[in-house]
Amino acid sequence: MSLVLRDVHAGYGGTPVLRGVDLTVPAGRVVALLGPNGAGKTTLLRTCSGLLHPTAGTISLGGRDVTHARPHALAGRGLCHIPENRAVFPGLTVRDNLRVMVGGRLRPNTLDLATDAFPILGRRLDQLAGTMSGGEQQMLALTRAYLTGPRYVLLDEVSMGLAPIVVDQIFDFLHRLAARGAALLLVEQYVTKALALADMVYLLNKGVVDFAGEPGELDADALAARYLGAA
Amino acid sequence: MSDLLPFVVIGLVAGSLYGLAAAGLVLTYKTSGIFNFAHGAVGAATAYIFYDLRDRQGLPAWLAVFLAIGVAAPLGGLVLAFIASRLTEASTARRVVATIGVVLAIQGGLQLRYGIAPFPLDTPLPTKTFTVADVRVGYDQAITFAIAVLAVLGLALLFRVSVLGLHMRSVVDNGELLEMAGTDQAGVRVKSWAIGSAFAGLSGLLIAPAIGLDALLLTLVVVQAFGAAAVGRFTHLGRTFLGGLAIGVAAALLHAPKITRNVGFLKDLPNLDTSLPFLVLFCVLVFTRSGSFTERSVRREVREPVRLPRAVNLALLAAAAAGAIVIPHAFDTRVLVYTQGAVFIVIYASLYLLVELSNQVSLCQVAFVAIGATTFSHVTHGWGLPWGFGVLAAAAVAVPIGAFVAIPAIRLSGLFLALATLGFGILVEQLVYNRDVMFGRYGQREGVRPNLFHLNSDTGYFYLCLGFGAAAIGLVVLIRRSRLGRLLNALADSPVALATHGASVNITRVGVFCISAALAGVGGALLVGVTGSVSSSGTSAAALVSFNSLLWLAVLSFVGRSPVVAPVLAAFVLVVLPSYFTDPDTVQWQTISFGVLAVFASTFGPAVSRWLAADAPRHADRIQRGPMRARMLTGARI
Repeated sequence: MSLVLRDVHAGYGGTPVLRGVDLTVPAGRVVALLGPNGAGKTTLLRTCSGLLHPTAGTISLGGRDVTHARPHALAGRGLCHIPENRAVFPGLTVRDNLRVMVGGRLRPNTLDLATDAFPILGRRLDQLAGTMSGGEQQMLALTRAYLTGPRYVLLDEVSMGLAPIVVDQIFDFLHRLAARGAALLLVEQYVTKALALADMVYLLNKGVVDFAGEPGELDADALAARYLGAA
Repeated sequence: MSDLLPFVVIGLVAGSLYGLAAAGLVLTYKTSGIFNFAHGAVGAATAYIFYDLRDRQGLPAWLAVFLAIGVAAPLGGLVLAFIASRLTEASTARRVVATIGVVLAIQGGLQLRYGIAPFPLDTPLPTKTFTVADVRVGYDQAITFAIAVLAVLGLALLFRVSVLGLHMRSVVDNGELLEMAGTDQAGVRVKSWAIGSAFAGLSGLLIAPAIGLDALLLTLVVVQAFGAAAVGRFTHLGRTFLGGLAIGVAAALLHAPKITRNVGFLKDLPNLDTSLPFLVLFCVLVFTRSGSFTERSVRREVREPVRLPRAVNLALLAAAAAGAIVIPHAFDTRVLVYTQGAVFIVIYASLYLLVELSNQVSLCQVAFVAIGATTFSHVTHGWGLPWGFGVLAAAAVAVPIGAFVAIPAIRLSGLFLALATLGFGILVEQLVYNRDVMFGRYGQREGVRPNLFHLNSDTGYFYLCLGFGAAAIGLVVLIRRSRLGRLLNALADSPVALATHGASVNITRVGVFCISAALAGVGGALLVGVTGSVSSSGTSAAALVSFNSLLWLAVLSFVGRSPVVAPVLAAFVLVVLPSYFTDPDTVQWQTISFGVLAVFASTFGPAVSRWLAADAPRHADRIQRGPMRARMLTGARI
């Protein structure tokens, strides 16, 4: 029961970005996906969640081929993608955002779960999501990974541009998410925080996997060099 | 006050229908980002379908209403949803042309099946009256108003409360995110289109008994909803409906004796009431703060043009020139048709300049041509000045008017320019055509041909017009290669990038619009000489009625992108080709086929040309520089 990518090629309008990626996210494990800007991390997540279809290779989810599945179908199969840049509906209230996350109608426990994840949201239910602070918007976006109980969560730079205190709250949340048994594929700029959480780590560079292994095997200096493009 | 009340009642009923139609329009625009120019045409088609089912097939009225609004209109919505889904990455021009193609196809189809002549439609509602506050109100009026209010309230409620409404609002914000949250955004869009089209159908059906079944008029009446939609900034349902009511009441009050007596100029503007929505549309667009109407940015598709070798090009040009010289002798009975075709090369060069070179859409090119034609007539026929002065005057008068219309182009882009020009074209036709400054009350103006050499003979005039056509194409080619051309190309690609390079976007835009208007004006001047007169009405594709602006633009979408071939081919299919068909329904078939071709070109065109071009550059290379093997072996540039 894993999310498995085999020799995946993908790109935009004839420009290749991923060039033969093999990657596995085992059920219930946390996988960190690291790499410099332009390595293809976001493209890889978009390909996993069906926003972009591979030009070659296969993707399977729990043993079933989902290479050409649409995003909403994948969401129905327990895949949850939190894209970068505050993935909320700015023109909808927080309550309506939560309704969309659970398919349209609030269930009795939806609000409890949401405030359990991030208590601040309980005080913002009737506010337009777009008028909240960046950290609160990111919390709302992350709540989706908590409400629907997905088995695989793809997280794209969810701590980007936030105050350090908010980043800590968000990582606390990720720990809780992992503890509930969800598998996480984590793209992060806070490398040490990500490695502390991860069971496995992949390094992506120029669309190919550079390194795959356990966080302990990764030398901090080599990692820094890779990030600066010196490798 | 009491003598105004009856007019207020009439206005409220009409206004509620504008509001109803506008609400459907806003719904589809919000959820798909595609502005449906065919909204009125869907309304017209629904009214005709109702008539057909009830009066020709003999179905009971309730069943006909249900089939027309509940089945036929939503099915039309599905077709529109499909078209819209193919346009998410399309340029503004393609987005506009696609739904305009639908207008043409529906329009032509209705006229083909039901004839051009309008006929009355009996309302399915009771026509008895009752009296409120000394005003006699028809039950049909009251019911119409109630239906419109309830439908819009229902839509607003659906939008606010239901799950589908929630999903619609989510799609407006971020369709991709909705998809990631597990809801198929395409499905939500399809439902929006079905509901929006049902609204168009309902409004068409309710309006038809008042004005009769007239395909063009029905299309335009629901198009009047554009004014109401503009008041609601194309986003707010409530404000849109109130805008519709206000426009309806204001238009009706223009007929009240108390007001016509006291406001002198109303006598001189008999069509002001029907023009009011367009006046509102135009004013809202022109006088709002820039940035109020944000449009989703679209990427322009860039294609490598197919280049033929210079020798082949020259040979083709020589052949074309030889062919053109032979035309008056080979087709001497049709020389006037070909002359008109040559004039349309000039007109299409003006459109090409705007649409292809700067990615702006003008839906008022007919107005510029008409302005040029009537100015020319005044100068030559009226004042007796020489022919050349007339042509120069036609161009000169069109320039400031072009600058005036370009005001919205400066601040708003793409779609809103198209809407403003549509409003302007209809305003000119309804308010100015029948004034002395243009066609006058008889709707006709005379003019002369140049009295020089043999240019006033049919053959001579043909050569003269052809020369103007060639010169217009030459001008377009020259502009494309000049600094202005590069600016235009950059402008079409990215106005922001152009501005950061220090070039003035606004001046470039106004400049293009003015050159285009001037060319169209020259085309108008030449048009007068073809038959010696020009008329403000007509049924042919070349007639100077504002609706034909849409037809002319549609043609440009499927004749290719070459500055030399496209205007010639467009003029040929618009003017010359139909003259070879003797069928009385040729005009209708022409409208239908242009519409279908325009829809096809804008939805599948890029895919087809990508497919065609996949092999073309390599092929062109081979012609130019020899086979690959030879180039590799000789070390030539590969």
